[in-house]
Order: sequence, then C-alpha cells, then structure tokens
Amino acid sequence: MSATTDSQHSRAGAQTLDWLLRAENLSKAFGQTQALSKACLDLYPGEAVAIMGPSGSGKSTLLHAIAGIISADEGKVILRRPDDEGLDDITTLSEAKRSAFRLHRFGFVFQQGMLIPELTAEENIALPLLLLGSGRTEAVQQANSGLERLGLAGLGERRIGQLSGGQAQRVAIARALVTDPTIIFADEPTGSLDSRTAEEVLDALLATNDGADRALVIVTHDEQVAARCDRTVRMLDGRIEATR
Amino acid sequence: MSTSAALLLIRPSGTSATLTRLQLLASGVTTLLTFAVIMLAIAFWNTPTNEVGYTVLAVSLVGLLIVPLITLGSATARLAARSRDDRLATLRLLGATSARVRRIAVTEVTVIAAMGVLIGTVFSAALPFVLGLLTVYGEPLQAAELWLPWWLTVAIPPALVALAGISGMLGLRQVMLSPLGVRTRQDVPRLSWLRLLAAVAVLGIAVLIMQTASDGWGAVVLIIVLAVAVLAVMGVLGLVGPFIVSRLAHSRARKTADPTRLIASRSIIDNPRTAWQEASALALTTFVLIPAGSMLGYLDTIQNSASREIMTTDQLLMFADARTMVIALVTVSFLVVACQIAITQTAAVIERRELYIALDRIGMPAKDLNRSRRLRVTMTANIAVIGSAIAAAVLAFWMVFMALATAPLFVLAIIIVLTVGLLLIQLGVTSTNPVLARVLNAPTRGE
Ligand SMILES: Nc1ncnc2c1ncn2[C@@H]1O[C@H](COP(=O)(O)OP(=O)(O)OP(=O)(O)O)[C@@H](O)[C@H]1O
Ligand SMILES: [Mg+2]
Repeated sequence: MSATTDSQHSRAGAQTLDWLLRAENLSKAFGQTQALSKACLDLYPGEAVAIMGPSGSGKSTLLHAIAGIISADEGKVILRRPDDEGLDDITTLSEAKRSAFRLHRFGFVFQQGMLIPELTAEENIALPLLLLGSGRTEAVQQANSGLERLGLAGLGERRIGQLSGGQAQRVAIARALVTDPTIIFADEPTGSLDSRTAEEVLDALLATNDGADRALVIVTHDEQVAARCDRTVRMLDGRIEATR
Repeated sequence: MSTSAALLLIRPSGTSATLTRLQLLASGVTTLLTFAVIMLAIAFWNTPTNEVGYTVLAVSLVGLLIVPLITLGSATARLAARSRDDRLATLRLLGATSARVRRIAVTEVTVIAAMGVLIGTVFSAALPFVLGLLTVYGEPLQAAELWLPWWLTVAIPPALVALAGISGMLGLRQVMLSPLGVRTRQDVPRLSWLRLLAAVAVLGIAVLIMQTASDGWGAVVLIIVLAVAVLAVMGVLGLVGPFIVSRLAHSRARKTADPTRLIASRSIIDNPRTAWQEASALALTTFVLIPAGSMLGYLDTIQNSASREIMTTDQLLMFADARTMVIALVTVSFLVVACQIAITQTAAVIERRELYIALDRIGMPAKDLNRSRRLRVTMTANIAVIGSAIAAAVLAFWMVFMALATAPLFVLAIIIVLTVGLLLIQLGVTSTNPVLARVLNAPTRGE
C-alpha cells in the first residue's frame, strides 16, 4: 500500500515534483529491541506528513534516523541538493558532516521545544544563523521578523522560562524556520499543550509550508493533528504499516 | 519505602559512575596533599634556628594550602551529592521525605569520601621518602623527621571525612528536592555599588597595613596581620569577582556574533557565583604568587650583589626555603585546580546534558559545544587571574615595583607560571570532552 502510493505520487509528479528526501529500508536495533525495521519513506516538497503509531513503535527513532541524529544500522537516507544539483546519502557521512546537514538543511521542533534556557527568545532563534556565520545584527533582525511572523512580537528579550508553553513552542518553530530549511521535523510538538494552545501551535507549524517547497514531518499521537496533514504514515513494531 | 530500595535507586550508574570515580580520586588527592602540606610545615617549624621567618613560612604554608584543599574536598562532595539529582527526584516521587533523601545522599557521598581518604592515607606513607628530595635549612629532609606524630596521623582522616559529609549536606541545601526534579536555587548576585565601595575600602586598609608592616612587630603579630589581610582580600575577591564576571559576560552576550561565546556568557550570567568558584583556586594562587615571587626576585638580587653581607646565614638559608615553599604552593594549587576543573566540568556536562543534546540536534558541531564549555571556564579564569593579579600588585605594590626594577626575569617567570596555570585550566576542560561525547551518543535516553 505504501509502495503504491509513493510510486504513484512520484510518477504523477515525475516532471515537476521530485522527492526531497528518500529513506530506504532503514533498520535500527537498540540491544535486543528492533526499534526500526526496513522502513521506507519519501518526502515531497510542500507536503505535511504525520507519523502515528503506538508508544514504542519507533516513530521517534525513524525521525532521528531520517534527520541524521542517530545513524541507522542499515538503509539509506538520500537528500536532494538544492536546485537539483545532485544527491547526498546522509547515512554514509561522519558525525560532524551530519551535524552540518542538520544545521543547513533541517529544522527541529520537539515536545519540550528543546530551547536553550539561558538564552533569550530572540537569541534562541538567532542561534542557528550565528552558527552558520551570520553577523549579530543580521541574525537578530531575522529572529525578530520570525518572532513577528509567529505573533510573538515584543517577547524577544524574554528568557524561555518566562514564556508560556505555547509561546515557547512557537519560538521553537521560529528557530526551526530561520535557516529556511528543506525539511522541518517535529516530534510531538503539541504533546504537552492544552487543546486550544495545541491548535494554535499546529496552525503555526503548518503555516511554515505555505508557499514553500519545504516538507514537514510531524510525529503525533493526536488523530486531529494527523487529519490536518496531507498524509499519515502508521507505524507498528518498527515497521511502516500503512500510508494514507 | 525501605532503605534498601532507596539505596538501590541511588546507586550510581553510567555517567554518575564516572563522577563517583572522580570523587574517589579527588578525596584521595586531597588527603595526600593535606598530609604533604602538614609534613612540610612541621619541617619548617622544627628548623633549628630562631629566625622568625621560618615560623611565618610554616604557618602560611598551612594557611594558604588548606584553603584550596578544603575547597576541593567540599566542592567534590557538594557536586557528588547534587549529581544524584534524577535519582533523588525519583525517590521523592516515590514518597520519601526530603530529609530522608538528603540523608541517603549525604551518607553515600560520605562513604565514598571515606574510601578516597583511606586510599590517600595509605599512599601518604610514601610521602616522607618523596619529600626527602627537598632541602630545608640547607640539608635534605630526613624521612624520620617527616613522620607525623601518631595522634595527628589518626586525626586527619576522620576530619577530612567529616568535612566531606558536611560539604555534601551544604551542597544539597543549594538545591530544592521536589518530586518533579532537582533545581539549583538561583543565586544571581545583587551587588550594590555601596558594597563595591566597602570592598575597595577594605582593600585600601589592607594596602596600608601591608605597607607599614615590619619585622619589628614580631612573628605572631606579623602572621596574624598577613593572614587577616589575605583573608580580607580573598573575601573581597569572592564578593566582587562574581559581580565583575557577570557584568563582563553581560556586555559580551549582548554584542557577540560567536554562538559559542554567546552561550558561554549567558550561562555565566545565569550562575556567576558557581562560575567564579570554579576559578577561585587560581585566584588565590595568583594573589599569593605575585608578592611572594616578587620578594624572591628582590632577595635574589640582594644575594647576588655586594650587599650580600647584610643577610645572615640563616636568612640566606631561609630564602632558599621560601623558594621551595613557593614551588610547593604553586604545584599543589595547580594540582588542585586541575582536579577541581575535571570534576566540576564532568558534573556540569551531566547536569546540563539536555542543553547539550538540544544543541547537538539543531546541528551545533561537537567541537563548538566543547569550545563553549571551555570559554565559560576561561572567561572566568582570565578575569580571576587578572583581577587578583591587579589586587596583589596594588597590595604589595612596593615589592612588585622593586622586583620589576631589580629582577625583571622573576616577574617574567611569574607571568609564565600563571599562563601555564591558565593553560592547565583549558586542559582540564578538554579532558572532559569524552564525557560530552558519551552524553551525545545516547541522545534519546539522556544518560
Ligand atoms: N536510546 C535507546 N536505547 C535503547 N532503546 C531505545 C532507545 N531509543 C529507543 N529505544 C527503544 O526503541 C523502541 C522505539 O522507540 P521510539 O522512541 O522510537 O518509540 P516512539 O514510537 O517514539 O514512542 P513514543 O510514542 O512513546 O514516543 C522502544 O522500544 C524504545 O524502548
Ligand atoms: Mg517518541
């Protein structure tokens, strides 16, 4: 089922719509636990993909493997270079190179945001740009327009502890967006929020794809979140069971 | 909950096992060095001469080295107690009272310290032979002279263990043990300009006393005066240091475009007192080394000049021994600093692992993470060294001036020694890079 949808998808868009990232047969074991077995996933420009499945089914592991946070035992993760200038296999890269890929090509939003508590909201957002070598003024300027875009204007000087959960999560989204990444990965981004705040954060997250050739991957336990994505990948015991 | 269940939970594993090993090492080193310092001091004290300088040497050796040694011992115990954080929180969650959790943690830290002290005590049996390489009062030290009286040998270890226990207890006071986790109580220094003024006044009075002090005052008065002056200045540094450090970090954080420096500055601002404590051993060394080294330089010039006659044989011998003492002082305090840095940095990585994991995920290279950790320590250490160098130079301004004029090579040597100290600090931080690597290699599980 998953294979047909994906190949149809790619056939339909063969001329205009090539995948951004292709994960092939990813497997990963932690000791005796087979967290991931032969998982395949293609990501296309402009789409939002939900990953669902029971606890322990390997959703986070899949996300970490695709994003190069952990290295899979087997399989490939192929990423297309901007302007179609070739392909890179992330799985063969060194730790440092994968780190550079995450910085240049990916954005991340996690359940707790994983923001840096010591830094202000503005500095948190500016951080990836600074890591890429931007000047302070430019980075801060971009951070502020990010804050504005997410409805957080005026909160730039606050520390993360001084923000509400929903605000912090939107700061995390702004940080993920600031480098204009190819793919944004979100692991239960609304998991710790009440339903109304969750809605707002989800709106902000989905809006990151508006008019962009970006892909968005959201790991979630919430059917309503999944319903708002373009398709849903369901996992069980480290396998991808179905794709809608 | 039964105590055995509690002990099961609190048993170290993974990264905290590293910390336990470090605590063993540190308490062993503390014990060994304490014995060495006391043996050396007794040797100075027992020299067959009436020269008051020897009494001053003996007392200041103990005075100056016991402080960093105690700091090391207590810092270790404090951190060891604190690093049990997640397990402590679990215990609270399972229903143990806060007092009980504290008791368990302190007991464990004390037991580990006792083991380290025991190891150090056993090794200290070799000290008389090693110290025999040193010359005091013109003759090599005899192992027989160096054996401590039995009551002292028996008294030192329990005292050190008790110290570790008390420090662990105080360390846990700084954290709040709630079922939801352990949090360090924030300690942002609120230093008013009034207090800063008071600090400057204390410094001024100390300068006055130092400049007017003379041999005629007698050994006891001289020692007391020197001790009070040093203590006063250290107190002032401890008060002003964190303030200056956080001020400087503030201005850095606002301007820098270097992300490693930004994170380092921000984390100093968050906890300037802790940052300062990590560097304070070096501050004390600097503070003592500058006048002591200057005096040595000055005396060296006299010794090699025609005015040599004005010095008695006893004074010449004592001069050589003062040099021994300064070398011992620098060696021991550098050892202490190295140990302390290794421990505090290991604990810091473990305590802040979530931060490092987060930074790693967004693609901050490991080498930048390490650079940021190094900067956090060196920014503070540089301020500590430069700050206490200035304080010392002001306080012993006449001596430093004479040394500069008569023995510039000695001053150069002092600068080199301090630079080595700063490099050693960097090395200490770098030695904990593998701890960070281990934390990052288990990104999902935390430990
Ligand atoms: N670092 C690790 N070490 C050991 N086992 C791990 C590690 N990470 C994941 N696992 C195991 O791999 C399996 C998949 O874990 P994963 O975190 O991917 O699940 P998940 O679908 O994200 O679950 P949840 O919905 O609870 O977040 C689980 O059995 C988990 O215990
Ligand atoms: Mg998960």
